[in-house]
Amino acid sequence: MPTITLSKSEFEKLVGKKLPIEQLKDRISMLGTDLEKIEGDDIVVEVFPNRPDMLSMQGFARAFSSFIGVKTGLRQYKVEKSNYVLNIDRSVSKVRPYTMCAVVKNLKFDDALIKEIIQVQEKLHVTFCRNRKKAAIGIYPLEKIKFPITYKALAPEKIKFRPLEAEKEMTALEILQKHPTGREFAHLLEGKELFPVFEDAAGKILSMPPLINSHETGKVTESTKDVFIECSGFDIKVLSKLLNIIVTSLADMGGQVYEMILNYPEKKVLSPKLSPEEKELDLKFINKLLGLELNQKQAKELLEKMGYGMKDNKVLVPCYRADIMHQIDFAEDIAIAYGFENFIPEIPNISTVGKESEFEIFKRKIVELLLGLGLIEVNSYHLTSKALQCERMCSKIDVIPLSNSLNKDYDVLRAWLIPSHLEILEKNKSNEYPQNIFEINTVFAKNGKTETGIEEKSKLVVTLCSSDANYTKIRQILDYIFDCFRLKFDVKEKEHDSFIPGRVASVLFKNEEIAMIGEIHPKVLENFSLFYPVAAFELDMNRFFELLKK
Amino acid sequence: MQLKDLPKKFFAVGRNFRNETLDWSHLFEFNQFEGIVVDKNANFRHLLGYLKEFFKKIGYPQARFRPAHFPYTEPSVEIDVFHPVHKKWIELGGAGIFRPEVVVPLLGEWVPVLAWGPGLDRQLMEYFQITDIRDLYSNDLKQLREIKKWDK
Repeated sequence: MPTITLSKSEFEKLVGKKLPIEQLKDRISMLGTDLEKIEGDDIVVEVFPNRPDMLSMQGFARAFSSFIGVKTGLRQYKVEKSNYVLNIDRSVSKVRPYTMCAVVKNLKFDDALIKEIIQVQEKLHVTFCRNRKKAAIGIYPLEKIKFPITYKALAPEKIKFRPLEAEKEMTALEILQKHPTGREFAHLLEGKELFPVFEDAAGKILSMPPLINSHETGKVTESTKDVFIECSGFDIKVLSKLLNIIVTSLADMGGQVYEMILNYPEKKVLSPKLSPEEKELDLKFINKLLGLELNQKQAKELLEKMGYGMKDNKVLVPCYRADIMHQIDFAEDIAIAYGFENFIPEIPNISTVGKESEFEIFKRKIVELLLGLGLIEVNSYHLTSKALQCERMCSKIDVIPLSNSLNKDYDVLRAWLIPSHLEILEKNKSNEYPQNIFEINTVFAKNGKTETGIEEKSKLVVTLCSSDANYTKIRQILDYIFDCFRLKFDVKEKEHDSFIPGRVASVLFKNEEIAMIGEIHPKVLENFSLFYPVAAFELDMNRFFELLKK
Repeated sequence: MQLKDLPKKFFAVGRNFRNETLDWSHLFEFNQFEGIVVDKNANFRHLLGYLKEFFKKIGYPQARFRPAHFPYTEPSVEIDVFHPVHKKWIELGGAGIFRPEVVVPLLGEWVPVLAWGPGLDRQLMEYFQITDIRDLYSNDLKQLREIKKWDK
């Protein structure tokens, strides 16, 4: 989630009001942005992903100014007519089919403003544009461009221009391989036979989206007064919103917006469209959801505080809002304007009978029994390593790997619990013996029948480590548990590489194997540098519980 | 669950996973307690009501709510509680009302679902004076044998 840094003094000028610092902090938080800090002239805030329009200082100030009541209601943005034309060639339809553009004039670009524009462009690229995959923005000095512009796709060999910050001209492939920005985003053009470019009437290449502008025609400097903006990508609605966000910010900076004529092969489109979208307001639904009784007039006032307009029963949604999809989105904005701190919390009269899950109660009973025997309950990680689950246990059990774990030692889901306990014993070698521990926790196995392809099982593991730990001692614990429930079980010798042959068995309850029990093999003990014998059992709690209930 | 079974309330205390690198304040596994209320007449004030009562019961009589953002809830709330000893507000977790895109595929139609999921681990660390979150899982038997019992 992106963090922006604003100049407090500039911000207060744009908002039109200076608040005492404690109040400023409070209001910023209650608007719905996470305030990180105010230090000197810097305000650092985290802007949530649903408000890309607040990523620029202008956008943030616009929202804040409305919220504190300085300038409420729908902002009107004027769009002048022009003769600026952009032609879209059929060749882009399979490569990067759409673009929405605008011209903005009368800007006063100083160093701070250029930095701001670049920052906003980059933040939008990373968030709203999904790292340029969904859409990309290009901004160009107007005086360097000859209209009409053409948006088309060419074979890579035919593309040659001097990209931003490069020393000389490069071909498209050279840009992908050698230019830093080209390399970073080369994957977005992977597999394409033709690459998209913007070309002006003089045959000069303006840029190769979504990678890079030309150094000659694509670099905004302090002498720039007028700009051409294009957003390219795969969804015209998304591109319109993106363009609106940038253009309204520039308009708020003092710019004059000019409409462009976009000639698509099938139709002519005028861009940008800064008029608001009209949506019905379902006040009954909103009042019910929020637990309020607002009338039409109150709702209108609250919506205006959040930058909306209202005409009869229709809400006018500003052209830069990308997150309004449902009445609940109006509900949230109304709630914010009303002030979360002003809602009176209420516990409703919903009568339900509560209880704890039977399985949880059962697990707790077992835990209490074992605590009564003097064992210590431990708690280990669900994530582990293949080395711990298999190699050190001399076992070939199947484990489920994680595809992108950030920690090398925790990159598989554990299939059984005994290894975790041996690791605990290994870490506790300097502590007193006997060390008798237990745990009820989750293990994972592949299962094609579940929704995720994985089955989670609850297992009980008891591990005894002392000079006299042996099969008899661990068997006594299992006997005790079964005795408490007045149940009986059978054992059947089995083979298992982690245990001593002849000292390992399956535990059968109602003719089903529900556990394994035995003495750990000395080779395994060696792998964990343990000097005392270890005896353990691992029991399937889900199955035990199910069979018990039958 | 069928619509005719409503209203229903559920809770869970469980382990969540997040892809983080391990350090003194981040773990890839942590504990959360979650509650959801499914009721045709549930509203935002009820959500705040449950939260306020709940936090009061676990020892934080002062709680405040701020607007937040989670992709699956609208409105979304961030809960701060006033720590009686440290004398400052600390962020404890999130809550909200599930969006129709979440509820409708599961229930077949829109019903307000209140939900919250604050974390437990910070409380545990404070009570046991643990400063490195990894110590919650170190399973040091000396520590376990000598640690004070939870008594709140």
